Amino acid sequence: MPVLAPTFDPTVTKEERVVENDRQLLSVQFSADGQFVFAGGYDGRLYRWNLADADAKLVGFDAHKGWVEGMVLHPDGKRLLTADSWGQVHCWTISDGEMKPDWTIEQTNSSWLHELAVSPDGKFLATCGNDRIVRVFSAADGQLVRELKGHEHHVHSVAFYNDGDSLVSGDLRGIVKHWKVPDGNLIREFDAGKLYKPYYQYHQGGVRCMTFDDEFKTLYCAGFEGKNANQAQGTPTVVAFNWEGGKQQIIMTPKDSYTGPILHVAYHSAGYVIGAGSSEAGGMLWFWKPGEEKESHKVKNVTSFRGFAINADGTRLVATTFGDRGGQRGGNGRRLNKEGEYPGFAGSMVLYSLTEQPA
Amino acid sequence: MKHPFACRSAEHGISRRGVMQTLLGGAAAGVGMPGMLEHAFADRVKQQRKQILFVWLDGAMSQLESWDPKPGTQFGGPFRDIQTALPGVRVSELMPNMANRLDRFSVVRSMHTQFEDHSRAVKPIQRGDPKNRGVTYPFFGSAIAKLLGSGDSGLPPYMHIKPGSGGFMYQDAGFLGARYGALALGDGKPPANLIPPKEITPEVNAARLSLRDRLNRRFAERRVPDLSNAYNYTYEISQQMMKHSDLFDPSRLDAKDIQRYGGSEFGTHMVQARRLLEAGVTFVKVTMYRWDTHGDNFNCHQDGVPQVDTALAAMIDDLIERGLYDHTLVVVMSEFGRTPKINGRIGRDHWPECWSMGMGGAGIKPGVIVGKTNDKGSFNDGKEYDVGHLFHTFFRAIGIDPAKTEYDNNGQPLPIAHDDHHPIEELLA
Repeated sequence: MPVLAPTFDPTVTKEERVVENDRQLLSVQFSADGQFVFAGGYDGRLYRWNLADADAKLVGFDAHKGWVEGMVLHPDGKRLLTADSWGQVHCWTISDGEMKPDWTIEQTNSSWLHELAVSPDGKFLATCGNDRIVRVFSAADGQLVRELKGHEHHVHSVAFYNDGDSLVSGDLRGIVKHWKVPDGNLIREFDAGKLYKPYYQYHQGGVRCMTFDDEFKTLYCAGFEGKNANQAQGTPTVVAFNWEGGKQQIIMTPKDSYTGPILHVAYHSAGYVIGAGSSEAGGMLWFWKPGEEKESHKVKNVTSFRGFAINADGTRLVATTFGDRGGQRGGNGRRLNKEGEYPGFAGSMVLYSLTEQPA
Repeated sequence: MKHPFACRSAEHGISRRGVMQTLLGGAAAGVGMPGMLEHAFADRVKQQRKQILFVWLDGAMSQLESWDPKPGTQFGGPFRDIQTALPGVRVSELMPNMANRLDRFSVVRSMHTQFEDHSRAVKPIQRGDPKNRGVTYPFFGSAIAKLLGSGDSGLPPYMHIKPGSGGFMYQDAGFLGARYGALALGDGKPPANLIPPKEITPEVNAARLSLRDRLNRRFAERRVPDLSNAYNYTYEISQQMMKHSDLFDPSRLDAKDIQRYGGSEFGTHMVQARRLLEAGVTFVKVTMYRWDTHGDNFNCHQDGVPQVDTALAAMIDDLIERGLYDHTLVVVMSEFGRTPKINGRIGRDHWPECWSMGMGGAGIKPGVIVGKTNDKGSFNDGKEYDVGHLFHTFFRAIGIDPAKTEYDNNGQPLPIAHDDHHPIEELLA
């Protein structure tokens, strides 16, 4: 009897497993073989989750000092790159034992590093942050290759194009810049201003995350469309651009009135744009088909999503969350637990199955 | 009829005619001209009259992203801390300019107040949260307007620069009476129609004023005077401001000053505030909204704290350079702090348990850090202070002893600050 391959179907997305952590988690990646999940925490630690063991807890390693904001798997599948909000980058060789960095960049962005990306050919590593500079390094040894200057506002997101020397970076005002790495030239700009709204003296929003489709024909920029309030109140929004002509193609939003930013967006090779929403009321994953304004499916989670990753064969998605799965909410004033302590929020990782398993 | 709101001391008695004479006297000195401005505040420096700059960060700035960071701890957030001009004292990396000036400014890190929501906190905190005596206490600015008056500036004693709409905010005055309210410059702009039409010549205007004055007096003789006095007062103010119109013209602000103050809307308002202080306004309040960061706290603070840092540092530099800092009390505060806990929206909620505020200038010992919080920044570690302690400190710093000064509310003596509180002595110069 022939073995049928699992087929991707967002409507059968199912929570497969949850692992909890006493601190909130942000960035996350699968190992190339899908056996391990790595996550970065608010506490600067790197966590490893062995999916081969159904009862496995998270194993933590001292890694960074600031929030572990950026994490990306090198295309060689052997190395993991992590970056913290204080501007430090580590390159790790993936192992099931004790992990130590192969090399480190002590200081990349001088002010709140937001994201890390690696070029599809594995040559370059890029970081961006609130110092408004995109920095490109050799992914082999962390040597600085180029500084890309020109953003006038905080740079929240960065992604490489697949031509080997182009990247895009998105800032607070919704400006996405297309750069050539070899000469540092700015090629053009995309206007994702839908994702920016000033409120009194607060500049609200920004291109919080970006991704290309598998063929690099469409660039998806995500965040939220602000309302007349601060606090990241607004409609989760994805703005799609045609890469060739630079024209805005479509704006994708949820069907319901969910309020909060999309903090991570990715493209699933089965033909879906997936966005993760963050809100005190809970997290949400939306699955949009390219070219459609409203999602075809959504998955709710009790706690707020921060990041997610899809494994290499597209059968699983793992998301980091923050919030208390027991129902603890934020709130004003002194809220002590039964022991009279003032607890912080915990974190967790939720593993989802994305496929209909063949009978 | 006895005026129920009048202070009994002769020096604080302000007759309508007296106001007019004072205001007109100020106008005759040509306060509106930049050169004369220099002259005016040079004279005032000699007199050492106390003034106040009150920066109100509405919605509540986070102490953890400003004066009391705890990087690398459970509630620390994504930012680092940096060394200040005071050995061993560190503030958030978002405040590099104030870090360098902390030897000229002071911070209370152990505030503990009573209210955890805006609706209950904003007004009581700005009133010094005195004991309930069945009256509505004045905001700090109105209290100062009453206690110090306009001096010889010929300008309203209490002016408020804020985003949004402006106008006369009489509610600030509480039981003192509407005339001690704030004249608010909405978006930093002068009141509408400040400049009269060309057809109204000075002679015509004087005749109009005279007629209005007669009618008003007849009207007031038969009615409770509070509201009519307030109307008259605001009218007089507007008349006076017409003569100072350039003082309220944002287009006349120096572009280099605006740049030094950070180029933001708040920075521009701070430049305007400095200009009003130079012109002799007794109490200038500058409000900055946007601080209620239940969501996206860190991006909001990354954007906002440097605006405060840059403008406040430039203000202190300018006040020092102009010889004004020694007799201008500078206060920077909110209605409470923000929770150590980082919620599910990457925000911080309201936290009156332990928070920070800053003050400097007149009567304040520079470079003092009062109190401390525990390692996590979740609660005070040791002695803590309420807003009543702040008001005692503010009043003492500008030469008013709350132990010897009280309001007279139509025969009812009322303390000017919370009876059970006292000044923070280590802050007083």
